[in-house]
Amino acid sequence: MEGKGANDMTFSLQTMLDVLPALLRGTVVTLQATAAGILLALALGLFLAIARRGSNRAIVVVIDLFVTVIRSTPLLIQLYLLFYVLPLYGPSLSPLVTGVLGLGVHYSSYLSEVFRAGIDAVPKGQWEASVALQMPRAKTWCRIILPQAFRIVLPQIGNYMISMYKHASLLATITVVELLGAALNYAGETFRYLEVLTLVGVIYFIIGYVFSRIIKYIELKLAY
Amino acid sequence: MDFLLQIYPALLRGAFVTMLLTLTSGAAALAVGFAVGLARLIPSRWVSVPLTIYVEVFRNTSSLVQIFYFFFVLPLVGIRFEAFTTGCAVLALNFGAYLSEVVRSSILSVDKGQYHAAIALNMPVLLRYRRIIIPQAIPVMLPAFGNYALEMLKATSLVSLITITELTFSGAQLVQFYGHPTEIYLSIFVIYLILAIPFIVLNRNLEKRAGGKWKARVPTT
Amino acid sequence: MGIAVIPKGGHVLDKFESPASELPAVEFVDVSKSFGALRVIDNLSLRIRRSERVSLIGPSGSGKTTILRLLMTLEKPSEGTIKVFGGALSAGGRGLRESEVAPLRAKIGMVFQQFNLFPHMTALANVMEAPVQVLRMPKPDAKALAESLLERVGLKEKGASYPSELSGGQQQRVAIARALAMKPQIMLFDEITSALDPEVIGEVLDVVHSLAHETKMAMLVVTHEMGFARDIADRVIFMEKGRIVEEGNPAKLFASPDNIRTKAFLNAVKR
Repeated sequence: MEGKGANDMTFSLQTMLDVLPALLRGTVVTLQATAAGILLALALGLFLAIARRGSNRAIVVVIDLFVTVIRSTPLLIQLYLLFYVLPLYGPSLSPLVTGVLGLGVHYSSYLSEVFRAGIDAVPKGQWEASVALQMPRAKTWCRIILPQAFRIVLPQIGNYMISMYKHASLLATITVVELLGAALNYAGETFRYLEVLTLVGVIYFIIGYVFSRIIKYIELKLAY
Repeated sequence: MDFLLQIYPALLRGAFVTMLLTLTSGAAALAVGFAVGLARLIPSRWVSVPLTIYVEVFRNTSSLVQIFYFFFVLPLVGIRFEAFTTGCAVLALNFGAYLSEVVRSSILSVDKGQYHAAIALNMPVLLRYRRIIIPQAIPVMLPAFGNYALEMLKATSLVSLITITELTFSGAQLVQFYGHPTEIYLSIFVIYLILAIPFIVLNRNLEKRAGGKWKARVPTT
Repeated sequence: MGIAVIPKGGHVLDKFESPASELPAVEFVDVSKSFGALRVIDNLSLRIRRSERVSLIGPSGSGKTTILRLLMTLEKPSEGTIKVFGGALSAGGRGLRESEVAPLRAKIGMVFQQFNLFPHMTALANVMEAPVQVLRMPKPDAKALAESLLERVGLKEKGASYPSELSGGQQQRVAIARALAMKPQIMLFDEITSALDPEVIGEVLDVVHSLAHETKMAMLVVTHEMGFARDIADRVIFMEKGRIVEEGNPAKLFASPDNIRTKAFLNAVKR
């Protein structure tokens, strides 16, 4: 069976139909991981960006160091540390939760920079007007500054989301059966790499392309 | 500590291969990016349509999937390379697609008046680009190039999955032989960080420069 | 002053001593240009003699600048023929091939509203660039030429400065020197003072006036400075909606225009 598959170069549509359900289940896992990962990255990134604006010099240095270290090292190694090393000292998380944690923390380093730039881009006059209106600081953040900053950075968040969606394929290496993982499982048994990986590529392309069109559309809308 | 002394030659070899991969793939990606980015400016569908398809396919699929595709599928259709070559080629094509967009958009960002002045001085089209447009577009490209260089260093870890003995794969092998995942994976993490330092410093400088003297010379109007 | 580097009328005439010397420097025959539904040049015909100085005036959007851009091949006409010294720059509404256009375009120089100096080159390098790269002039010769041209526009000391280090008036004078370096027989000035602060407009106009006195180049000047338009020109053309409404002797046209719309325009700009 294996030998036959490896040498058989004909392109089998039947194989594609056979593997499609497994790949679609994998796609759902990929999208779930991306959605959870981007939420975590948004929350953590926003927290880092706001915390960095305080006057405490030590906090600024620690945050900058954290962001630089996370940004400058491969996600793959970060996933290995979370998957193989963390359980030795702490809780044992499921592979999917570990993957979401890795994606979220990795991308929070990018998004904290995005938020920082977005918050800086809100005109100074907005802070001054809020002070003049006797608005408390927390209210100023939530009702005045962040809504404007979000609007500015929305396209960039979208681009990082697409990037994370493609990066989520790395979760296959820590045994998550997402799109690529499902494909490798099937192809490993049948050696039908051509059909299976082509189908994976097509699925990635369709979803990625649609995502990026939507982002472009939002970008144009926001720019008027 | 003894254990680290025992494994560090293997890790150093891995780090060397990682740097080699980064530089080789980076140089190739730069060549691809420039060639494709410039060629896409040619106003002919025969050129722009295939190149646009290349760029969109590589940008909208996962780089890891691309790596597996080249590794598993190309031999099936009779194309065989060493794993290292395959890894370099995929990284170069993947990053080349992104860099070509940087090249293209930077060139398009040069003020139209510069094209007009070059035409008014009767410069042939190649001369226009070589002497006037590209020299002004390069400072615009540099910060993005710097960021992609660091991304390239990180992306080389992916080719560990097609058995290239770079840093990550060396580590994974050591863990299989000896155990000790904590020491080994933390060491690798730190080594990546050390390898990244030149890129981090470079990027800081590029960002400063782009905001400083160069911008004064290159008006953005 | 480095007058010697400027092509003189005599030099131009030497080349065209035959009946060909009767050929006008510029000829537009039934030229139209549309951008989508908007017709910026409407079936316009125009002749400019060798060494003639012509001012184009009119409200914005009247098509003055488009005439210069068509001549410089920055735009292609939608219909009609444009000739330079008898050679077709475009015919039947189509642009011609680069190899046919380039020798004709070599006779034309242009100075732009926004200067369009090359920001990555010094003033001297800006002036040297085209002679060295396009005309293949040896570098020392090009340098001597550039230095004499910079001196001519009063910027002898500024050769090593980058455009960003120069004032608008200085940049525009470098741009004039850069255009002169190609020894054009027709010079196009496209609102060259519109982007300048009022206090430096004079220094740029003085340079153009001295060129007008000392050379025999044909000049086509688009400007909103009515005094300049009158003083520099042998002939003034008033345009509106892509057509020539009235043309003639500057003193006459500015003092007592025949056409009511010319009158209205001149009254409006006077205010």
